[in-house]
Amino acid sequence: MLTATIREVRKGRVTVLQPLRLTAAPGQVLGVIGPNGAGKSTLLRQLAGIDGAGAARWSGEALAARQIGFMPQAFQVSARLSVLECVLLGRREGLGWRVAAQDLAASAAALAALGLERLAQRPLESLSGGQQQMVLLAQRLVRRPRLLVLDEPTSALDLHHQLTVLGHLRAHARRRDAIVVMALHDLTMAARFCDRLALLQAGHLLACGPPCTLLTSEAIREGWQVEPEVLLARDGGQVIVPHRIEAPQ
Amino acid sequence: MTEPGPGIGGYARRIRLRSAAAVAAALVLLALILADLVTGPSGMSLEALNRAFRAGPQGADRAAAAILWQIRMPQTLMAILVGASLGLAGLMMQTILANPLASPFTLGFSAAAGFGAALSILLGGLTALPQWLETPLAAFSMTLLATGLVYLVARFKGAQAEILVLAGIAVLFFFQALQSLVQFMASPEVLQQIVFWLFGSLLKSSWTSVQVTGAILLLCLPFVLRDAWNLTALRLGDANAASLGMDVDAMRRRVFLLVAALVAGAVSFTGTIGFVGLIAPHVARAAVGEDHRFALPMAAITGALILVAASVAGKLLSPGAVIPVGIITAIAGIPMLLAVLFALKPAGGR
Repeated sequence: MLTATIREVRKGRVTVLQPLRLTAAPGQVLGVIGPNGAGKSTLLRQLAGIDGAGAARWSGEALAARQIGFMPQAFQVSARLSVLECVLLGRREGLGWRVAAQDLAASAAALAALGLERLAQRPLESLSGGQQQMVLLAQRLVRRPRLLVLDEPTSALDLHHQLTVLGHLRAHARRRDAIVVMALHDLTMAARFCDRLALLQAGHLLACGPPCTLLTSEAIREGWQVEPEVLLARDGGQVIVPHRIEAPQ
Repeated sequence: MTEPGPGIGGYARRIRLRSAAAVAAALVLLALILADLVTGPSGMSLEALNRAFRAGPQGADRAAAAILWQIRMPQTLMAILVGASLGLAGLMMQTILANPLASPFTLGFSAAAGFGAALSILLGGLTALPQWLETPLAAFSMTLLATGLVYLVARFKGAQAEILVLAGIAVLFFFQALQSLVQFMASPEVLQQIVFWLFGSLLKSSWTSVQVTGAILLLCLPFVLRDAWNLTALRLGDANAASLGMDVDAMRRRVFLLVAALVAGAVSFTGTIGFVGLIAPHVARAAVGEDHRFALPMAAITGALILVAASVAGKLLSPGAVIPVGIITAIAGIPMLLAVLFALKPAGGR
């Protein structure tokens, strides 16, 4: 069981995250949702230990850096490296002067899992933003982390690749008894792929629970200031359809 | 989204190509070393060079032994060591500052060395040491002082690229101002000596300088190579490197100290030699990409290659009075940099 006790986080005089406690069971996908500025990225960085000591405890014990795979929000990279070399860097701690065959095979497998094997020898800087985002995700997956912390991992992806990546992350958590924590803006995707959701607003954890209990019309209206329709798809999943916001004349 | 392309087999081929590029560069360097050893005001054929080399420093032909073992060999070895040090330092500096325009001198090291040397020449005989030893020691000490100043800032304010650059610029202007003050106070004769030191020349080479610069390079090398994967990971940006479990600030401070040691060892005996540390990394990256297991050795070989070539050119262009390599690299550096820029692919990666 993963438990995380996070202390207050301040930026200057402003408190960006209030103290909170999160739990997740192995094999679970936990979605972090909330409007812009709610503290989602700060929470994820605390969880992954990027800004200091990590807040996450696995069965009471602190997780080592190599057991955590953290991916910050989408960013462009420009390095004269091939896609395979970029993924290989995910195993940085164990790499020697000669790259072992199992490291290469694991990197190639991580690319194949996301359907990227044919990009393996392409220069990283020649890829689109969405392709780079998927390559950087493969770089995390090759670390085989127990805790995968992802900040908007599908922000640059088209619909097909959003579904591929989220489906793979869900399968990864189940297969490896790992925990995936990810911030998402798309509430329908969050409802479809996450086992539990943590709703943040203005640095406060308002609620944590299954999507069906959290994603109500009232909660969305309150949290995002939009008028939504929450529908049920044929498979029972929630579909959130927001109404248009008319621009002032 | 997917396109045709090889997998692991492609990686093995890429590694073979990079190794071949490094071996080819090493062979060119070897040829230039021979050219440097046979070139000089008194001339020397390959056969005579071979004889003098086999006879050793105490060979029967005293003139040939003196020319090879006391003059040319130290200069050639110094060109290799200084070039390799500046090439390595340049690549590491460009990587940790994420700036292709950075060079080993970006953070004010050359200005500090120049001030130390100028002060020593102005005050001549301030210590019991002979001038040939006092001047490099003063340059070395001032470089370490400049390093200490920038390092202190990095220690307390964080070692982000922009903080290092700003601290370095402050140190650069500070030591440049002090250097100008010393030049202003110097007599015309002393000023001439200071200017000659600042040119950057291999004529000051000796076996002592070869031993000191070589020892510093050899001591730094294991630490440089140990960080090869970390430097490669840093090319994907600070945020990505940190998220892979790297302590980016600590790594940057560590590499910065290595750069300082390499630069201090290189410039203390020869003076400031510009452009080598700026161009060698670009050539290395263009040839072998940014896997630093290959880029670091390639930058060292390229740096040595440029400086040995400059030494040959300096002797050929003016056989009577050898042109200092610092002037040759400064003149040749600009077209070389432009050539590298034009040769670069917009989206490369080898």
